[in-house]
Amino acid sequence: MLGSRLGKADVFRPLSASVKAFGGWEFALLVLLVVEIVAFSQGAYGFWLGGAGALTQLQQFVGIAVASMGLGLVILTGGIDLSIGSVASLTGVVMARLWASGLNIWVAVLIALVVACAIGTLNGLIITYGKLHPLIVTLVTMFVVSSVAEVVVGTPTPYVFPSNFVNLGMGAYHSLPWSVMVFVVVAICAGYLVGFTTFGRELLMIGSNPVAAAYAGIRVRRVLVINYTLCALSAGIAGILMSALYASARGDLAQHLLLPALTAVVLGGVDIFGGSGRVRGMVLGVLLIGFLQQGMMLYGVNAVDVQLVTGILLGAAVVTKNMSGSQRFTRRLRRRRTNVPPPVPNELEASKVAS
Amino acid sequence: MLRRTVTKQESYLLIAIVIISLITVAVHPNFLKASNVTSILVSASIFGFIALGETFVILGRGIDLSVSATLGLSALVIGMTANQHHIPIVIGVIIGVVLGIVLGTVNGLLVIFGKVPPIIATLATLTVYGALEFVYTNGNQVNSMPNNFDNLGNASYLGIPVIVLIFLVAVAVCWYFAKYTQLGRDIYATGNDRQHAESRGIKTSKAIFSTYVISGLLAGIAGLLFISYYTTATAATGPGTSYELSAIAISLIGGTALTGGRANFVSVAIASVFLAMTLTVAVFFGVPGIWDPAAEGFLILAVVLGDAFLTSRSGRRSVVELKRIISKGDVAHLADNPAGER
Repeated sequence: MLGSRLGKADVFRPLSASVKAFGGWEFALLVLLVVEIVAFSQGAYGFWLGGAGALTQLQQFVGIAVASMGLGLVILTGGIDLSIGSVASLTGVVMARLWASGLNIWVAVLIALVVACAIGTLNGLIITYGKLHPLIVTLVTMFVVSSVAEVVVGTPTPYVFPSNFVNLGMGAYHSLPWSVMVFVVVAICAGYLVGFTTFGRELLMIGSNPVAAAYAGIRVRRVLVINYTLCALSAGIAGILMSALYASARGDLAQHLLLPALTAVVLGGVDIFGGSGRVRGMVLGVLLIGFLQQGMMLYGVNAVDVQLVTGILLGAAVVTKNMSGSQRFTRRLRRRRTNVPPPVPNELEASKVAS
Repeated sequence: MLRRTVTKQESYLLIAIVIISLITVAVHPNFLKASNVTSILVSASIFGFIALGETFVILGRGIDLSVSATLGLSALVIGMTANQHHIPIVIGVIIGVVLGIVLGTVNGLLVIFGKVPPIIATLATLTVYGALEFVYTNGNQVNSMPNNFDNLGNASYLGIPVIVLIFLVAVAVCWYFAKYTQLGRDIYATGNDRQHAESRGIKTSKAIFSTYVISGLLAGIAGLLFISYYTTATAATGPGTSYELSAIAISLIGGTALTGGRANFVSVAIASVFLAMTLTVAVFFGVPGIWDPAAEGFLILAVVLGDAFLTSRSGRRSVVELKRIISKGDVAHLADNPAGER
């Protein structure tokens, strides 16, 4: 992908060099994924049911997968969106309420997605025009939106949805689940957006240096607002898919969406400070996290411990990535690989001065 | 002189507190009942405790989401141990302090040595500590506390609840520490401009690391106060009730700058009373508790937007003017010239 290669900013960061030294972050992810699937197929009963079985597993965490695509776009610009979990919950709840009040289910879905986009746009506007850090703005919207979701859902919670809607979450077309198809479409869109469009390059430019991007004529505010809207849209789609999967809507439906999605993005090789990353990696990260969670649950690990592992993994992923990015570590690694004595700093300085 | 008084955050807050309580008393005379005022002050003290720690972290330009889980874990460990072994309070304090320091140190290590952005690091530890609460309790919960803890929670000295007194002492210590010790000044300087502070020979990593340890320590003690006052804790105590949001809200309402380098511990203490009172007033006016996080969120947004507005609108010259006015006060003076008085 041309765009992402541009965005990797080889000139600015020693990171890409070290990733090459590792044989590629994404290659490592792929190996881990294969190891993980093989291990769980041996250890966890009912994990491996053939190719279609793997797709059924994918169906269980497709919400996380879809939401992480949008979150990845935001993190590429060096921002963050903590509100994706509550936006997903709200989307499901709004959809369910509208449907319960007699609207056609697909119209309800459409309106709920518009609501999600509106929240994203609001996030983006406050962040760009209020000149606030995204973490505080989206922290606020996270709690406000989840309060609203709890109020909107009311009692009794709507739960009997039409069968063709529930089919979106649980059904399949010739053993290819509908929800997985939605994920594939979202992932391809995200990949195209980041890799092959001006918008994607602008995202990466803003991520590596927003001031330079503004001087280069990029309309930073507009791009960011669109970006947060897209993120909320993907969270909304995730919320719809999840309420279709569980065939119910609750105010805290997607409460635990944020952590695995964030872990997947970071694990997928997206730089948490923005400016580099590929959708390919994000997809691998999502599969790794999702299959890990599913496998652990089938293995009999309880949900809290799964969360514990995910949290540790998030920290470990960022630390590992930063370690491999830090110059000292990379230098040590290279030295070990090539057996070349390290340059003496003073000499280096001297030669610079001399030349 | 007048201008200087008015620019101070605490006077705004005090005025707001007076106005809100007057309106509420006019509508609901029960609001001023001694038991109600005590409960407001005590809950303000407990959340104020974690807000003090949060203020240190924000002062160093970080953020700590894991305080709520630290509070919950400390409350649970103290509660369970007290019920099983009938320990004296001193042991409870030691448990809270040690646990808080350990959990805070993990945050600090992640942020400083792992170079993880604070929001990601503490989000991860929030989840991990929150999950540890479930693992530790294993489905049990603390329903009551032995008498010695219970007494601490309900005791009062000269008519003031002991927890409030402890909080006042903590505020004084934090204020002194931040203003008059080497490390405290280093934290101000680091938060204000890390590169500049580094170039002046301040060990900025040490300063930032210490903010996370302090935050964990205060959250650990807050756990002790929490369990001795409320005497119940479940595995969902803390993260389940989003105390981290309360802590951040109190800290920001108290005038702490999200961009680091500016904080006033006295106004943070007043802000904790303000928040506790506002939420209680909401209950008096029949607002369901489910809106609490939303209200805290809106308060945060209002304060932060107002702050950004005040500092961005009025061009470079009026910023200089503003700085001159503020530097007549106490805190910003240090932030302006952290190393100058060494």
